[in-house]
Amino acid sequence: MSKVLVVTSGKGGVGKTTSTAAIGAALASCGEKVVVVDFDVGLRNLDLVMGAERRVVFDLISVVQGNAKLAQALIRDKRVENLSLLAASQTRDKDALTEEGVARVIAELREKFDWVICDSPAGIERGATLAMRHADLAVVVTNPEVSSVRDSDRIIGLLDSKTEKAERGERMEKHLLLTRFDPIRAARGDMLSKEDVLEILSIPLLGIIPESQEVLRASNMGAPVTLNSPMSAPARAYMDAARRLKGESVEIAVPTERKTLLNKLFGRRAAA
Amino acid sequence: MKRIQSSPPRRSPVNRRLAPTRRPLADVRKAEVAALFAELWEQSLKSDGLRRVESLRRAEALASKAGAEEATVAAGDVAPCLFIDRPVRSGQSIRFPEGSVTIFGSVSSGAEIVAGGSIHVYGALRGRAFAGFGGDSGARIICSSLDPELLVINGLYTTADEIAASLRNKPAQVRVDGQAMSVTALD
Ligand SMILES: Nc1ncnc2c1ncn2[C@@H]1O[C@H](COP(=O)(O)OP(=O)(O)O)[C@@H](O)[C@H]1O
Ligand SMILES: [Mg+2]
Repeated sequence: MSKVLVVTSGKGGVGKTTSTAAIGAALASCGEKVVVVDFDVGLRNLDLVMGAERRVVFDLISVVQGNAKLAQALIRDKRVENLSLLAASQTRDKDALTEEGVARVIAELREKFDWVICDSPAGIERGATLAMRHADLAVVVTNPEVSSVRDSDRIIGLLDSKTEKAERGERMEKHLLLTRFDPIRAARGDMLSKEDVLEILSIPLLGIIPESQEVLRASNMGAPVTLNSPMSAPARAYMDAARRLKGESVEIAVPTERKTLLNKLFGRRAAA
Repeated sequence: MKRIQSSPPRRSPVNRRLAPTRRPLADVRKAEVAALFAELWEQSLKSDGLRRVESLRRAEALASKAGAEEATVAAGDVAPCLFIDRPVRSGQSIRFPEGSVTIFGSVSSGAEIVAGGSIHVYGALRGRAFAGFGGDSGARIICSSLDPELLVINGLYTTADEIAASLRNKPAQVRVDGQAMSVTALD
């Protein structure tokens, strides 16, 4: 049974694209058939994070407009067999995405894949509502700070009213992914705590991803962090989140600060 | 605590946002609240002449909009009550000038509840609450945890800054006492 998952947040720069790539690759490495779909028309970057930017010929808009067949536009990952990408267009206007067109493409993707993961653009406008429109479940990406939590709250309101599932009177399954979590700043009380965020948003927690250099390093390498450095803290946290999405029960680890030998010598501290 | 004119001034649309002026914050706040109140008032006037049946229909429509099995309307002989069985999120606005509103869940910062009667929140009230909208000074605002952006009862208002720290984030009741609003802890 295939599932359509939207990765959304309201606010930009919180880690939606990073999370889409990391979770998509993690699920695919578990043997699931996965496609990641970039809805951020005009600001595409899922293809960069997936390391496929030079392989994009056709994209979501070409397929929506009927200028290409889905099979022509799907880009298969070179590292993981079961992983594909449907890129967004950088040049085209986002109004080119029509509601019917998107519905048709999603229906077609459902037949081919176990997981259809939609990377939403920021904001609460058309692009974001189209990305969530056909979802069965949502991952709400939030940073532990007030403005991000506020925007996520707003997005949850839209998930509960503007999606097909909500309009049918069904309840949208929503999961909170707390990203860019910095244990040092959390200990100092500079950020909202996990408890604060959960209390305000009141949706179940899928995982906590620590702030880490590995994320930037992976995206510069053009690889999801779960493939580029699978043993790193963010990769393991994403891997656990993917397993929870599959229905496994995995305990949620709260990142703590760790002193590495080198940092100890220099009196600096780094996130584990 | 300030009193807003009970027949609201004509709304000037530019008033809706804080203007970048050097006016004292209290004045700006007051103008903003007055404009907001005027806007809500205008909207409710439109439905004023309606029969009670009409208003019930509206309530039902509202209930179904809020998610069929999660909102229900109880229509007693006196005034109907709207029940919302989920949190009210930032950007959402529940408007029910026909009667009271009861929320099972929190009201987020950036959300707004407008009720003709009282407002009950079984959760944290972090947004804006307008009770007694349309002239009922007897209306009250009751919540399990008080941390609001704005509280208004029939034109009297108070902001978070004016609420004693000792009353915040605890169960509380807000009512009109003479010409002032009174906030008391509920223990
Ligand atoms: N856990 C993390 N640690 C460090 N940097 C991160 C982390 N998650 C995301 N980033 C960085 O934040 C920036 C925005 O991330 P991105 O996934 O593009 O956000 P969005 O898609 O929500 O706009 C990128 O530069 C990314 O590398
Ligand atoms: Mg993005």
